[in-house]
Amino acid sequence: MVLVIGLSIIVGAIAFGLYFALRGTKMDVEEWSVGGRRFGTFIFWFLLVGETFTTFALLGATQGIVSGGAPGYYIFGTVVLSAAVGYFVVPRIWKAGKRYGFTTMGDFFSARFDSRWFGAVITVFGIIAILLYARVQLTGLAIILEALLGIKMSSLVYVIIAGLAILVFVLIGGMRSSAFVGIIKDVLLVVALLVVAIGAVSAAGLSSVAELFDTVKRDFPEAVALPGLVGEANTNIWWWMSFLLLTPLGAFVLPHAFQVSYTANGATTIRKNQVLQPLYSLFYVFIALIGLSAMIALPSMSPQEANGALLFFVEQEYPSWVVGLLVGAGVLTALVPTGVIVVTAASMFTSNVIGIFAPARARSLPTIRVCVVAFTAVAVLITAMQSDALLSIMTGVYSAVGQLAPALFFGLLWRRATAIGITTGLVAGGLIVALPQLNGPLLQLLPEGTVSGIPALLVNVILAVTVSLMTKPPRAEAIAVGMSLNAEVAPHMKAAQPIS
Amino acid sequence: MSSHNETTTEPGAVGALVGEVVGDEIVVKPKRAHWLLLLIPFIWCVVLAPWANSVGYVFGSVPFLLLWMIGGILIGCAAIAIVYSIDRALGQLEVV
Repeated sequence: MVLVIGLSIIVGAIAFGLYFALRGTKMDVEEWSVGGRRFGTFIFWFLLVGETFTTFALLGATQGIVSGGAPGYYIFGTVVLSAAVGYFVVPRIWKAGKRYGFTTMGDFFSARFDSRWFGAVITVFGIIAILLYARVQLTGLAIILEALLGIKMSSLVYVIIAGLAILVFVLIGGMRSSAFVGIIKDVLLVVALLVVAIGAVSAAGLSSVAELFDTVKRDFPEAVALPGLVGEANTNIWWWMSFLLLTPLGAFVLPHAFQVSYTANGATTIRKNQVLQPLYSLFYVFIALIGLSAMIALPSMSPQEANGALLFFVEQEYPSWVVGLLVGAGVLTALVPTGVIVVTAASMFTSNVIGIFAPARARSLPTIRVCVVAFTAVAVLITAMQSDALLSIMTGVYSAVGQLAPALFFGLLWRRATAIGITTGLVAGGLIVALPQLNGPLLQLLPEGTVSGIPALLVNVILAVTVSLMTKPPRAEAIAVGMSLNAEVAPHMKAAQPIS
Repeated sequence: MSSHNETTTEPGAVGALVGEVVGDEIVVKPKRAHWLLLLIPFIWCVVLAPWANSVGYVFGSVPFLLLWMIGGILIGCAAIAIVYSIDRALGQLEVV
């Protein structure tokens, strides 16, 4: 029953989405990677809020609440903080993309810092960051697929199946498929969540939301505030503050967010979306209700076991049509953002790394598709290698990707920033995040619980500023790519002065 | 390079923006003071978090931190909406 409903949803949604995506559209690189830059408010909204309801939001937030309580509430802050920053950043990225014809994050940085090598460096870092992000989505997708098929197989097999599903989806329609299937996925997910949330309180054997809170207070008193039930530094107030600070900074240098920014049809559309998106995140209230009910209904679980908490809860306490609905919506929820990630990694690598050595291939659709296969395979490998609590993985992702933030923010705000300066900072920051020998001692200097991304970012910025001041700034035309996007050629001069 | 002011209109603008002509280009200078409102979500969710975390239960058994964060979404959204409407009234929405 679960299988039937789940599969019909998935196959139906994908077929529907592909049909609409491909109908009457000539598929070229610009269509495939940035949707032809024609997405209006409605589609752009869905593509971006698709980022709000990823597998992480679904399974990871539940995991945080079920195993800890209060730490899971951090998720309420993520979208509104990102929207506040996005109001400024996304329109600039879009305008630069439109004016200069960029399709990837690497294109922007190569132009802004007058160096294709710099674009390649940023691209490689960006790909590492999003492969880590893909690990979150694939971990979630594998769990959901196991619930769908109901067969006990090794998680490696499920991760591989997950990878194959993404491949099929992406190879045909690219960014446009993701946008259209994303619409279906968002509607279905909201319905599924509503159904589960409405039943959550009684599924936990209680009679009202008030009784839910009373029971949590009585049986899990530490869940009310940080550091929560597990009570360790990795979910305390310093973790909270540093993670919430890093999230909006890192959100826009996640290369797929960058690429999605190019797809809008204007700054007004983008800004309207920044107003509306946080409202969508109010649906996290349902996740909170479900998480607290699951906390009561399920036996106590380690943070890592709790990755599957939402599914266990629904499987145990709900009729199978609900499980089918949730699983179907869940698969789509993992497919769409991962699809976007893989499209992005592939376009970036092809344009900005391969493109340096073989310029003819920089925008070749077949080359991009080969990269899609390669990156999906790598993502599957790193997911299969080690499993962790989703919340921990995500904290690590943002520490890593946050190191790219100076490149973006200095690129948009500081004329004096140079490629060498930023690269120095970036490498230092990346090493600090990656190597315990470096981040251990630095973290001793800060309150316990602070995520490694913060000291790394501080060192990163200090080095970026110092070294930039010691090296030659980019040419004025390059600086203009990030900082003079409102300059319009005076009408009387238009014929003589093309904008290039 | 001499410069003087000239008015120009941006697509989707309600009124006319003032721009300064510098050489061959008109550089638009938007009013940005109201963008300070965009800091409100950070103050609410990060700076005030330690305080919100210390309050404990409210209405009997509801964690205050949970309500505080829900409030953060509403207040933060309102702040961004205000910035948007001011930008719209000034005709600056397409000015990046």
